[in-house]
Amino acid sequence: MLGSGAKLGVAGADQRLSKGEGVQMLSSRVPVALAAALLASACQVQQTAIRKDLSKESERPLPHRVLLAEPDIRVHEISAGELVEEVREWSQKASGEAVKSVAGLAQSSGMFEVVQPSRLSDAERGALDQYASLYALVSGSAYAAQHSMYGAWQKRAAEFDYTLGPGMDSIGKNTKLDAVVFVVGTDYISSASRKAAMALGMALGVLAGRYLGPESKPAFLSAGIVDMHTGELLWYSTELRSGSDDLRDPAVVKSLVEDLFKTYPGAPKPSDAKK
Amino acid sequence: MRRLTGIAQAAAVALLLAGCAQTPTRVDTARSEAPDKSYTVDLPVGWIKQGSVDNRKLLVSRDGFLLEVIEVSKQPLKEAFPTTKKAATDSMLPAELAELEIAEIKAEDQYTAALNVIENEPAEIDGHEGFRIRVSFKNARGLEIQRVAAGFADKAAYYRLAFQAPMLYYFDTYYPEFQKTLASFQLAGSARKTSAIPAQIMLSSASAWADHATPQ
Amino acid sequence: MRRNNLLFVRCAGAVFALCWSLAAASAKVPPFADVSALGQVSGDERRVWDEGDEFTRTLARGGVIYDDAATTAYVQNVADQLFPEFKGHIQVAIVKSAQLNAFALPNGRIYVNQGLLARLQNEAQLATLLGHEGTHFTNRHGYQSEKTAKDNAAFGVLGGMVVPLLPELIAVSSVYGFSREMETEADVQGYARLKKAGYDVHEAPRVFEHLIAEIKAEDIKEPFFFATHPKLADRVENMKKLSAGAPYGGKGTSTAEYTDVMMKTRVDNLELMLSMGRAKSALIMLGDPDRRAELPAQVDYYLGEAYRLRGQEGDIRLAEQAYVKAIEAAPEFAPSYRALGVLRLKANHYVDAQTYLDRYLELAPNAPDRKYVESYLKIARKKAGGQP
Repeated sequence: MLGSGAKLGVAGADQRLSKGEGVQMLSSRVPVALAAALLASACQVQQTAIRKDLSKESERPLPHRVLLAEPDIRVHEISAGELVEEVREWSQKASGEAVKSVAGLAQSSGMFEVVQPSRLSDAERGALDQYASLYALVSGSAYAAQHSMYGAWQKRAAEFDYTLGPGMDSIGKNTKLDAVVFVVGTDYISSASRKAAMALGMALGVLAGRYLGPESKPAFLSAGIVDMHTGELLWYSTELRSGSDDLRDPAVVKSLVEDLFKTYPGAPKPSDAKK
Repeated sequence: MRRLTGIAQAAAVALLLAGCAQTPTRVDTARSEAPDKSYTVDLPVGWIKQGSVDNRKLLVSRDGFLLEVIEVSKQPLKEAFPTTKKAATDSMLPAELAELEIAEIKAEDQYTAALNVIENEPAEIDGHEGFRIRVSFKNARGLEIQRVAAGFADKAAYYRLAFQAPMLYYFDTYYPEFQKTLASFQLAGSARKTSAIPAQIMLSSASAWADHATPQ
Repeated sequence: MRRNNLLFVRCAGAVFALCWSLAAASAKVPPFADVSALGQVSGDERRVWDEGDEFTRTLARGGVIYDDAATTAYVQNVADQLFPEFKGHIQVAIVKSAQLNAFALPNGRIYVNQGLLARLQNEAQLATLLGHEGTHFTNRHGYQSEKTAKDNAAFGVLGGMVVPLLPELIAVSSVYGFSREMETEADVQGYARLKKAGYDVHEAPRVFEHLIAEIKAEDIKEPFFFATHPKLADRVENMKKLSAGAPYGGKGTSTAEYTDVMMKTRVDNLELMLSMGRAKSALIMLGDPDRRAELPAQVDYYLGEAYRLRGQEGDIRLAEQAYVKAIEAAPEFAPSYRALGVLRLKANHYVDAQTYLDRYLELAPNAPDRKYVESYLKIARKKAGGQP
């Protein structure tokens, strides 16, 4: 360019959320590093929440036919210089594994019947995409409230009455859907040179008395089920795993999905598995 | 190119707030006072209120700042529009203030730069002649966001009340809360000049809403 | 303890040497030989393309693409003339931004801001810009930059364990954006494309002169212009040297033809600039009588708006004069009456204000700002009670 081309665009896309203080109104983007720092600091804890009326099985029937929205999983390579680059092939692989794992778990446990988005019309898929964007904000808000250091937000999170609104009803009319499950995730895979740097950092750390290499980044996966008729977020769960866990690995994704769904009211109880 | 998930976004927002704002508290009684006691305003009961460290802003949200947020701010005239570095004066016409407010929003990022102005009209706030604008833009994921802002300037400061939410469900649902907040705004020591004004605002907003609130 | 320190220094030295070799290994990537090479993009380069695709989708979803099919087709056609062998692979889009900028993604997408399109004066200047941007794509500068950035960043961080200043030194040299070498290469090879396609090459330096004027007017640091790039003045000189001796009379010099195509874009851009308060930038075109001729009859209304928004001493008087001229030149253009009416109102000339504001509402009965104008009229009528 007359300037610095693609990089300018990237910088533009990641412009500040706010200047100064407060959330101010409102842009939709925040610095990547900030989010990464938070994710990295939020050790390996599973977070989950269920609507109160769903947690008592007698009050509300669990959804039977559930649309499995296309997962939004981003797998990145992180270089020795901490440059982060999404690798679409890896993202697709991880997303595919998530679909297989959720569908497999649903089938084997009888939690619900999975409906694939391929059965939706183009218009329905477009609408679903909009709701997926809204879900990102809703589940993000729930997560932030749960992780807030402030009591007011923590109490808000405990009430867990988040919703996407009743407008989703039209999406599933023809396919008689009860709910939709959204799966989102991120992972950061160290490049070969970064792995080498980690090894060297460890070796030098022995001499220096502290680890000198780059830190590993956790894998993050989350699933949420939204009632198609009311738009209510019925249940959601998040899982962070550090170390060598890699969302491209079918076994890792399967294990993460099983852990995520352990808190879902319709999930098989440990005693069921023994039978 | 690097896209954050909503969770990461919101988490980052939480971190930002943790670092640079006052402790959030639940709104237990509607009537609230500005941090510097220069105005009072009704805030939605049960929502969470958070002030900025410089005491110039009050932010209120029910579910999270990415979902719905009401902002009440009081800025010194010279710092009324910090991004575009423009000042307000008490002699400015409401339309001129609205013009500067729109420029300020456009300067936020490349998405707000492409905003559409849906409404821009005069409004009275606590008896002061001001403006009321409504703008629409999309976020990076294509979700339509709308913002309403109303403001006026007096000899002391530029006051702005704003509400923002995604058009899907949230704007429609919580906009009435903002209308109540806007109608209740009162500068300290001011005797409300007229009771008809807030009603006018409500009426025009309601008719505009009927035109624009098309379900998506 | 001392032995440990010695060992640490030795190890660190080994790391430093390893990193230096990594950075040095960032060999130059050859240009795409022809269109068949595009189908063979793979590995790391494929990733960079994927990121470009994602960014393209984000821009589209975010509503920032200027949706004018005719203008976009015109710009695309110029790009196709410059890069006929890559027709269908270089795709141009216009961005709703008043900033003077353009950029190429590694996947062949070229984005030109409407502000820059509006500022250029003819097709040859546009071709200069597109020749430059297209060369960034054909010469794989996006991929090369990413590769170099990765290598340098790796070097910086690892080196940082032992030489803390190193990351900063590398960062200021060439980590982000295209390097000076790439920009110069794009200038030279873009120029060759311009020449080959039959454009008048003497227009090439003008593109950079527009940028210099913009930066001076806005008094801004535009990092994407300066951080890693040859100085604009040097680029003007280089373009002049390249074109010295070339025959005049190439195509694409008609200002009128370009104006016909860009009129809507120019007006949209003026309105965008003014709505963002970028008065100084708007005055570059509006303050130049030659450039004003490239704008519609109501141009003086925009000139008046730019003066009003700039708000320097004497600007209100200049604005008023401009509005009066706009009314003379385009008597059916409603906004000039509103603008003049408001100025008269603020100057306490209530009868005049009433006349102009009434005329505004006559011409634009459905004006979006009707309620404001009605409120002004109310004041004007009330105050004009005693005025003749």
